[in-house]
Amino acid sequence: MIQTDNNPYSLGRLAKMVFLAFAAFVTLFPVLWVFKMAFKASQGFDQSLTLIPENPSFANFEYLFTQTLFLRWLINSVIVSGITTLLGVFLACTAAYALSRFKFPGRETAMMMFLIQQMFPGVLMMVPLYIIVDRLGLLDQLLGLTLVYATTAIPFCVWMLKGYFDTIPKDLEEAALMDGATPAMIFWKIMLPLSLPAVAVTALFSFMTAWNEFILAAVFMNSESSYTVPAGLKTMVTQYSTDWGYFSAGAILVSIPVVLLFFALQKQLVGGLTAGGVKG
Amino acid sequence: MQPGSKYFAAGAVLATLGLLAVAHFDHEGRAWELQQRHLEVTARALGFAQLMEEVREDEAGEGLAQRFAEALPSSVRSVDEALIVKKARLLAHSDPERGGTRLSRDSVADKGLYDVGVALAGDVKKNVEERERSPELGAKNAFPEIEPKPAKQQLVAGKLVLAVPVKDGLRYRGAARVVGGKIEVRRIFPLRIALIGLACVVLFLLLGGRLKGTAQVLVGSVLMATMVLGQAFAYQDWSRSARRAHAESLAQTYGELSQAGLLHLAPNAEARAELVPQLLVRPTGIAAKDLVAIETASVAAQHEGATRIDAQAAAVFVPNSFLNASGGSKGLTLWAIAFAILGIAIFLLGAFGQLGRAGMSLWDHRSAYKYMSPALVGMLVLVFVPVLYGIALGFQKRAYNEYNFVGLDNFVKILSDTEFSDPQGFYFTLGVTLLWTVSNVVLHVSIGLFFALLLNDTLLKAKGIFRVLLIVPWAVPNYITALVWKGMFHKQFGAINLALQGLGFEPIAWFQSFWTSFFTNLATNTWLGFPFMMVVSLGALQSIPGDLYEAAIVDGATRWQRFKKITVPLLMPALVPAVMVGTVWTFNMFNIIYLVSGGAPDGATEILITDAFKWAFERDRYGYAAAYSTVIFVILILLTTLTNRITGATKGAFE
Repeated sequence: MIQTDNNPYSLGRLAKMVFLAFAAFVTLFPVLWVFKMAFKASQGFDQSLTLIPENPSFANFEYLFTQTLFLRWLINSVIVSGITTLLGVFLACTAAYALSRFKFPGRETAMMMFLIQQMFPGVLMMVPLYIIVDRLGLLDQLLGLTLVYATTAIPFCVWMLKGYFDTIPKDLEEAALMDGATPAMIFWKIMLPLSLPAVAVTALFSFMTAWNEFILAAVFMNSESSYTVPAGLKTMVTQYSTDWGYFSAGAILVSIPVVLLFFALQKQLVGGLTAGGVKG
Repeated sequence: MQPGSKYFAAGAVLATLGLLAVAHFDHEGRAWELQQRHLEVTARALGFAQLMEEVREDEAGEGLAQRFAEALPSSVRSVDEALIVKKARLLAHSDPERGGTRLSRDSVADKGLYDVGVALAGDVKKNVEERERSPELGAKNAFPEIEPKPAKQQLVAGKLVLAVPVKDGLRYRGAARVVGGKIEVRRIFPLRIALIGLACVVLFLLLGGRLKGTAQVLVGSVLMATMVLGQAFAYQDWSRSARRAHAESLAQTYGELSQAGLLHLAPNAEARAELVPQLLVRPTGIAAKDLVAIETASVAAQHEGATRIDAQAAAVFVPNSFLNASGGSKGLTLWAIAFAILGIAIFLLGAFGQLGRAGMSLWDHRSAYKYMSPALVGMLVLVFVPVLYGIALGFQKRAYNEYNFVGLDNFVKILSDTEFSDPQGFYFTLGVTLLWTVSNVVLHVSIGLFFALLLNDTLLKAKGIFRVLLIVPWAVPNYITALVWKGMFHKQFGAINLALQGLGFEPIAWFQSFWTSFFTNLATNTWLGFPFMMVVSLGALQSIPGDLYEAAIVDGATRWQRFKKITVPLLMPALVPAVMVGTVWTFNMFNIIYLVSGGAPDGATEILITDAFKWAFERDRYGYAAAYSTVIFVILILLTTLTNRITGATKGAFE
């Protein structure tokens, strides 16, 4: 929007900044509060509203790694999210290319199906998935959870990658075709190398999605040693035990990488998420 | 009529015939299996019961055996003829005239039984000898043991000849032969499926010509699903009545057993109940873990000669394994299945209206399909199978770890719950869900747009920092957000109440009443959701060329006019899809509801998806929950297609 006044320090702008600073503080308050609880030694909820903990310490972090299964949960999360990502990207790459480049019967139907699947949450499919996974004997096993996560990862990857492939000009392929390249060569030698950044971004997003998933992990995993981090952290703040200090410490540890990733990839994410609505 | 609908009709007819054939052979096979097992059970029980009588080798003993044999056909359903053999002698027969005669080895009719009787006598002799060598064998148990090895049996032209060898040589040993009558099983489903198939074909012929593309596929799929469901329904129905028949006859067998006096050894009802599995299990050789109690029936067996009629309620046990038995005509069933698959394939191609072209285009587009195949196979296995299973599950009910087909019961129960003011009712929850979705989306968009407008100022200092800080809530994993906010709304220790008290207000018990509880969810989700809208709006705002505003200012447009005529229309293309996505997200925002209010108070703030979850995992009603999920799914599809129609938002994506 064009600005009518050109002074960056005008009264209006200063007021705006003050307001934004206040809004940012209010917005960040819960986050800051988590930090305070994490660095505080006691477990209860704090009775005061100050954000600086008295006697800050790393006791909660230490406890997390020595007295709980947190490390195990982390490893589980890495395994599940990692395999989900590999599975999703591997299966989606070629499909996204086909959807982007070829016109063929069933294309619209396939895209609609991927879209519906991407938009609708896994919780909706939880009952049949639970029973199937149970019958396969995969309940409480990382493999079972991975398969369940893949159901949401594949459509997401397809849409993200298709959006990116759409932005690559067709001239390149046409030129390659003129030079006698086969479709397979075009895909492997031209498209894939060109879109490696997009593949990486897609992979990171599916990793984040699986990393942050809570309820499916909580339901499909029964024993504490096979929890992922979200399901594990939840056990610390049940109705009967509220170990806010440990929870906060854990929450910070799992959130920091995701938040950083998020900020790095945020632009692409917005494009991908609304890909269902606009041509991404 | 389009060529496609012709293929559909042909496919549907083929598929119907195929399904019919499958149903038919399946039925035959299973009925045969059922009958055989039933006879086996009955016969073994009979032999067993006979042992109890301690028939002496005198006239009185033989009289007792005779009375028993005579009474059987009238008291045990599916038994037409009963006879008891001792060596080569037909000791007793249900036809009194034939009892007490000798079996002739030369007679074709007698030969089978004669052989069994002689072989049995040999076995028994061996048993007696072994027993003499180690007497402790017989004294161990109060109940006479039957050899654990399976009894001899042979099925000759529908007649089951069964011999039960006896370990204890003192007791009566004999072979009981049971000639089975046919178990009546209602044969309802071939007709039903034929009708459904016919209705499908007619309906499609009526509609098919007028529909195109996707609509045709949709109608076709619905019809197909109806047919398959019809088959499933009919099968369930049959299997239920078959099981009932089986259960009844078992109950009667049990009556026989109790008559034989055995159960009178048990001092009370509980002890008797404990005996039942032993009695039925041992002679039938079915492991106790395979047994599932399905109902109790009151059985009063009636035949003369019994000293006492036991009319106790008897537990009925149905072996699970019997249901898993494969049919007798496997080869035929396979053919029928292949036939059905062929029909369905033709139907699908026909429904796509592209049979003619499909072959060609499959080949023309082979590289495209090759690229698609990994993801498609993955989706098929990981997504469509569970989805179809989930839909099928919605038509079932779980009882005692078994799923029974209940038709539309679940759906009817969900949708006919018209207690609108009941916080646990479906329509109340639907209302809450809509309120939740609308209020969230409105708040997200207005707050997000507000901040975007503030930040869209090239001269504003540090706006990058503000932007990053305001996005933080979106970046944090939402289950963490939810748990933290739940803590902040804690009545005693939560930050919100502390702040309220600091300002001189009374602390609020947030989760005790509907509106405050709803507010906690709303506050959490607003905090979580506005950054997305802000980012989307900001991106769109920045792409609006400044010239437009300059021109408007030159023309004397006011601030509000500029906003209304330039900003809003140019925001829409970006905002509309974002709102759609946001609507679906909010509608299904499971984590917030589940973790913040948890539905408190009394499930009132539950939304549809958390309610479905509770039905499944807190009340163990999987069938109902699956139906519930299907309903949610349908609502969502309707919602998105509707908004899609109105906004045409996804059009671009399919170019």
